Amino acid sequence: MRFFTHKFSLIQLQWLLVISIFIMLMLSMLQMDSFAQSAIYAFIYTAFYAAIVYGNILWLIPNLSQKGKIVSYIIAVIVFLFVIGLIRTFVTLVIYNSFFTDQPEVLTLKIVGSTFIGSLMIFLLSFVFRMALEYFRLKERSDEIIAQKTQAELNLLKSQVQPHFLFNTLNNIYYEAYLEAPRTAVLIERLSNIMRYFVDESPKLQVSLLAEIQFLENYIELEKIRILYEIDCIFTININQQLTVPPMLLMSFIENIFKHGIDKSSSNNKIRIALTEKDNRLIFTTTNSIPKVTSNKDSNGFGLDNLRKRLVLLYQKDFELETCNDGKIFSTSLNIPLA
Amino acid sequence: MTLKCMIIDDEPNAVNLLEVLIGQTTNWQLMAKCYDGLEAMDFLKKHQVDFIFLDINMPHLTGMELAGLLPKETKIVFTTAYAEHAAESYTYQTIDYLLKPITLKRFLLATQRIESAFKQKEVTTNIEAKDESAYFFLAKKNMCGWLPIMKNYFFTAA
Repeated sequence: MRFFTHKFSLIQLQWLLVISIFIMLMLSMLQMDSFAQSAIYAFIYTAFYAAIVYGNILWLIPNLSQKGKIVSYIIAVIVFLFVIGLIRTFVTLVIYNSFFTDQPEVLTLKIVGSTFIGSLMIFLLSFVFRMALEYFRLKERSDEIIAQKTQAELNLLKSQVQPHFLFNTLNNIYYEAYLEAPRTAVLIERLSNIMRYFVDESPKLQVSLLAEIQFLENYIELEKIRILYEIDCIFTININQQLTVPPMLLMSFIENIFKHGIDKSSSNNKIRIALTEKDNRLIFTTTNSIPKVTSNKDSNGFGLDNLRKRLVLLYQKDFELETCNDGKIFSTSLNIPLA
Repeated sequence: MTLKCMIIDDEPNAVNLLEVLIGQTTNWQLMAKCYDGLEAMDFLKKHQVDFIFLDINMPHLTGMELAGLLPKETKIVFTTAYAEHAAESYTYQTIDYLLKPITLKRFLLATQRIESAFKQKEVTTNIEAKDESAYFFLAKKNMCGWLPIMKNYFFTAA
């Protein structure tokens, strides 16, 4: 029973299909021909079928049909099928003539024509196959998203035990600080807002830009007081703050700057952050000076892979992420669609 | 604006914080500080207040349960560490929902909301008093006629 419940990957499923077609062809040919002949022919047929199907969906459709070149697509298909048909007829004929018969047959246009028709059927089937493939890809992606969501919910459940204690305690401390040390009270306020964001906002799929920006600003302020020298940090915002973004996405960049882009012993740290909107897309850019002595050697790696993975999951190909390091300045640029 | 208020919260420092903030930033009259719901019910039997700072998670009687027992004219400002009760809180006569820690900044915003809620109530009551004849006329002619007015009143007060 495990066989039926086991989840196959897309690649495994395709191999499974190819092998079943091979076996089916071979069984149907066994009635007339010898085992060796059936096996060889079934193999050749399957290979050519696969060539037609994959040639169409991986090469012709993406390069021509999807780019709007319909006429060249149709011409290419006819040429493609004809060439494939020709090669197939030729190969089968050569094998047949040299191994399985005493009376060689000759290559006629009639045989090529009939294989061309056969190829055309397979070609039409390749569209059905493509749809099935797309469906499975979509399903695979949605499964992955659901799994991630479940994990996030589990994390939320774990964190739900403590927050009320945390916030009640912060309330108590805020009272003491408010009376005794007003400057501390302001810092507690910032910290509380960050904790609020973590507990209430970050489990959501989308958060308002307003909440996200406040969170980033609070974080930057708290990071600043950790450093002896004043940091020259300017955060430019020119965007409709009612719009939403996935939580903690922009945070990865800011966190990276403070992790790797700050020289704690220098008074010349410079950070520029800009959040703008163009053609219904969010453009987020950061630049920072690179410290002379890097604390961490792969400072450009910054969970970049994880970030890219998350972006692919969220937007597939509809995003741009660029980083640039010229030795003095490190800059990043993110471009994503706005919701 | 002089309003009569009270604080209900089981944590002493939470009560102290609100007391300090009220004292420093408003002219309100703090009628009572209660450390649980039953004590508060007892006080409210004998006295009347305009609104209550009400904590939700308390022993014996929760803030939500207490809210259901309050007379409709006693408004509520919830003070809680939980964000998830916000939607439910607005089924009562709630003016604001303060998340702990309650900071000076957020409290000042709340004072504006509270005072404007009571100002609008005053205005609406005055208008109602002036337009008494029109109100009755509409009510007699068509029972549905007064509904929009009431709705309007409810939203501006809330």
